[in-house]
Amino acid sequence: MTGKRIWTVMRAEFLHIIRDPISLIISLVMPLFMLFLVAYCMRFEFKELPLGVLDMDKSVESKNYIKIIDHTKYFDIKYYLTQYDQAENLLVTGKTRCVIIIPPSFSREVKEHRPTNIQTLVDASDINCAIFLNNYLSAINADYSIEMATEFLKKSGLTVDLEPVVISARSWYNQSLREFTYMVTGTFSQSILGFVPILCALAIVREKESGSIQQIFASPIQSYEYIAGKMSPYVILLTVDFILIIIFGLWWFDLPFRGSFITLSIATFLMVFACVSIGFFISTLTKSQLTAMLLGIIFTLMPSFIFADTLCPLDYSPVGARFASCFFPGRFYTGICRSEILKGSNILSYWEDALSLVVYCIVIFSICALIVRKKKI
Amino acid sequence: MGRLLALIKKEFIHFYRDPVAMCLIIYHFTLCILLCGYCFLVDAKHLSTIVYDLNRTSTSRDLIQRFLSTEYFDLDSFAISMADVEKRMDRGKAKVALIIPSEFTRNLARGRPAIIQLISDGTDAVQAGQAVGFVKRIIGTYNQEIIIERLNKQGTAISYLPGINNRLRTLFNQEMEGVYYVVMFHIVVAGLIGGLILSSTALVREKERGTIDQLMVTPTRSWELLIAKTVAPLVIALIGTVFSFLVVFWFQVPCRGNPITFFAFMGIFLIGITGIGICVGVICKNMLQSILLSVVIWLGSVFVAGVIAPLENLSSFFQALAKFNPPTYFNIAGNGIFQKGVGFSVLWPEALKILIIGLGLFSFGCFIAWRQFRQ
Repeated sequence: MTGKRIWTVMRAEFLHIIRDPISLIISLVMPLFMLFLVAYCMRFEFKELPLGVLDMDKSVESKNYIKIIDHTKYFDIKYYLTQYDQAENLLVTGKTRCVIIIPPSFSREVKEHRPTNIQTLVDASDINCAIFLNNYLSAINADYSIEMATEFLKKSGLTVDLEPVVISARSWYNQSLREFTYMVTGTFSQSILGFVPILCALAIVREKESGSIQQIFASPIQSYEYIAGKMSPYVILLTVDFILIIIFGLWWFDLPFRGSFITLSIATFLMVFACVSIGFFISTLTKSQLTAMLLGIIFTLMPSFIFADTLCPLDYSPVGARFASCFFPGRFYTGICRSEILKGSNILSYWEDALSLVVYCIVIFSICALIVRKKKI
Repeated sequence: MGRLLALIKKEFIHFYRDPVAMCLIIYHFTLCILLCGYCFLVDAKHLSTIVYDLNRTSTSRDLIQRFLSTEYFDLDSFAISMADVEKRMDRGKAKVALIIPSEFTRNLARGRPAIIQLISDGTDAVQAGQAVGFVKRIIGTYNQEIIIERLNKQGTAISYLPGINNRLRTLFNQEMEGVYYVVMFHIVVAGLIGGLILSSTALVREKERGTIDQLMVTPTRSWELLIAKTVAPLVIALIGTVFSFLVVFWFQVPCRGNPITFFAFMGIFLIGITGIGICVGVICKNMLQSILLSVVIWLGSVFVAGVIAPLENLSSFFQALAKFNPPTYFNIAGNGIFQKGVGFSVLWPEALKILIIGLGLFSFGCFIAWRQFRQ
């Protein structure tokens, strides 16, 4: 009897979904949309960033130096200035983010093999960009310094190794240091946590708002049957979404898949389960779809960005934020995803994340069960 | 005119009767920004470092100390075997491993290249790249000292090597405070949530309840209805912005420009945003559609606005897309007013672009609504 009732509710919900093709398409495409946005819009590597140069020296040496910067793929010298005021003006109007100023003593000091100074004005109103700019320019300057030193030593007939200590830098798990493998694996949890709960909450709140939930109350159906029937279509929808994301991740973005697919599937199922439960929890709090939506953004969409360890690595966050992140399953799932997809490590190395996810599911499910028992749909 | 005022009043009554929704909007403008201000600090500092010192001499200890005394590297632990390093890295406890081989001092003394190994956790490529940069800088100064010492031993009295020093001068935010940017970023996000979602749902709610039919039989014009639907979210989001100044004071973000200019810009930005919201509201038939569509637009416009990563880094397609995105301009304007202290004399092109986008979309919405009303 129970099975039949659940099936009926499920069928009704399926009809709802199918009769609204726009919503269906959006819910299917949304995770992919997020994946592409993150992969293509979170680029921190500079690509021909326009720079300004104020060359007060106007010598062969300074022109040579400018050419070196211009020839990197990161920078493009777009503005050649003649006065200091122009530099400030360019930065204030936001036409460029950085102006390099070469002092008049540059060529003399280079010829005399002395250390020389270069001033860079950096627009620090976008702080991340300023830090990256500084790092890139330092690297270029370091290379140029070595060149200068080599020439000096050759001229003065000295022989000394310019790099007594050599760094051999390697990076594990992602040898070519592709940014977006990190970002894309983070998106997996975002696209699940980001909007599934909103979808589930809306499914129930919609009935509340239109009043059709009264008919459910009057029918012999039990509340857990109702919820099981209401939620299962979304679990199926999500599974389809998840498969889509994995396929696109592997095929389009060339993610390595080093771990086991079964572990990842189990983790995903737990994650989906937790998300559906959060959605149900939100639906018990409100009667209006607008409020449900705003609550959904607060409880899931924003935390999926703040606490999922993608945009802002949790290692730098203050203790309070790290504690708060435990209320949202995103970070656990991200941890598992990265370990499984990028590192291919076994479950023992990330048992904390796995255990936390399981505990989280149990807790949120018990809360929901309690609410259902008291008939507070 | 009286008709329009009555409609606007009606909209405000709607919001007034839904205090929970109002509180949630205010939440986005205050606590949410506060939370993000504490969490969104991308600057890679204090990387937990595991050190595996096979050399164990005073030279190697000195080198390790040079790393750990900077603010970039924090000691996680001293490893006693390579398996130790692997374990800590696998579990994500250490982000960087520094390995000094046993022949380090011997090579250094004999003038052969002394190799030290740096392993970084490449899962976060940005962080790993920065870590390599820091290490290179530290080793660079270390190398210079060694070279000068060796040259002095060879009998060349020298105290410096030729090279370029980069004298960095940061403008507009000399303290390099990350929080200023983050707060502005999230005021943009909150403005988007307020303006977009409130305006897109306001119209759809009438459609879903069927009350739009009642409005159609009144002498109300379609554009009057849409203006009423725009004004209420706009005012509420502006009130939210006033609240967000609490967070601005909390983080002591200096406002170098005129706060009134900022509010004026917020108003212009909200006109642009509600323009999008009205279009969504006119097109969608039910709440679910409008909510999903606004979330899609919200995500898209946050990512393509140049707030997360600079626009110059994106591909040309996304750069073109950003030109039609009001948050792109508002981000420039907000940071301009707050950090650079400029006013309308510099920022008028941005204001104009937002207004054109907003009014264009609004008239498009009016046109569609007019056709719907006629049917």
